[in-house]
Amino acid sequence: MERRKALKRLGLLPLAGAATSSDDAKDGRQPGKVDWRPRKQLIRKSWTGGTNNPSAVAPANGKPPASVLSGCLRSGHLLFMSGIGGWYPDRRAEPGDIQVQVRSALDIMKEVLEEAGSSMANVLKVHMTVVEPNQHLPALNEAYRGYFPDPPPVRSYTGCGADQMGRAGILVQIDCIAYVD
Amino acid sequence: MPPGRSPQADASKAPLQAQCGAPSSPKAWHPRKELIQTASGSCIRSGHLLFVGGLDGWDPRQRPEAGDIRVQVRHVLDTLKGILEGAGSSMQHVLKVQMTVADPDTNLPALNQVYVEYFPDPPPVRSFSGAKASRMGRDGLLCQLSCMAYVD
Repeated sequence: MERRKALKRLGLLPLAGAATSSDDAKDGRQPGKVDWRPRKQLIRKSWTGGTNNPSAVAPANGKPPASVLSGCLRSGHLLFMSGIGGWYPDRRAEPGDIQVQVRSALDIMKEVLEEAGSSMANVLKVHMTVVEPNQHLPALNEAYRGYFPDPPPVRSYTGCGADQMGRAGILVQIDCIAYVD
Repeated sequence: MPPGRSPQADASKAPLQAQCGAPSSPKAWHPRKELIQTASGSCIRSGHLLFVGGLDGWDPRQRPEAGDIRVQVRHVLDTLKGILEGAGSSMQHVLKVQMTVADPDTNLPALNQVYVEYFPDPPPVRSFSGAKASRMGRDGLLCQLSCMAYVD
């Protein structure tokens, strides 16, 4: 019993409903046939701590750092995604302009959504943090348009100075909530 | 009555509802809005989701000194834990966190050191916005956090 409690604390036991769901997937049954239960299922880890990169993979050797956040989680029919930065030095040498960064973040978003069985068409809500939005928003929108089929998700943003993004070079951070069957 | 609201349209939606197990199950998910008050603070419940609003790192009514980012993030996460547990959820059930952080270039590493102690694996997804310390709404305030969690 104590061991079970310890495992539960560590999140190593499946949460209610998680086992049913994977059994369903194996049987090829419609997931809708079982009772819908909210739960928390890891879709993508993030090993980069506070730098929020859902695309980063665990180091080949050595202990990965304690993860501050998950890249993508599923609960019931909802997917939750961490803020994706427009620039990570391990993906690209140069930060690039706002359009390069928006495309990069949305490409990562698309990749993670599709890996989770969802798509850009299923995105419900987007939140962005944008450096100097008065200057960047028109160009951002130009790149943003086209990523989401009609109807596009709801969206909100917070603007800030270039020195308020947590690290130099990054111009945008985008997160989302999406639907998944 | 607007189109799509007629009884016929509702009937045609029944199979979709059935797909989600809603009508047949005693624990059917019905979204609604319910205020939950706990000793640590309040939150909103809708179906199996909890929404916890902007928790400030410092409230002068609770503590005379604002304290540094570590003190403030600890205060926020202790409060969050109290609210979630009071509402029948827990830190393990947290899905999504949104933070506003004063001067993140300076404060984020220290914030992360404290933050990582509070959530069992897998931690919630997270995003943040940075602001100057003078743009947080109150002098001395360094972080504000809101979250979504599930509850059985």
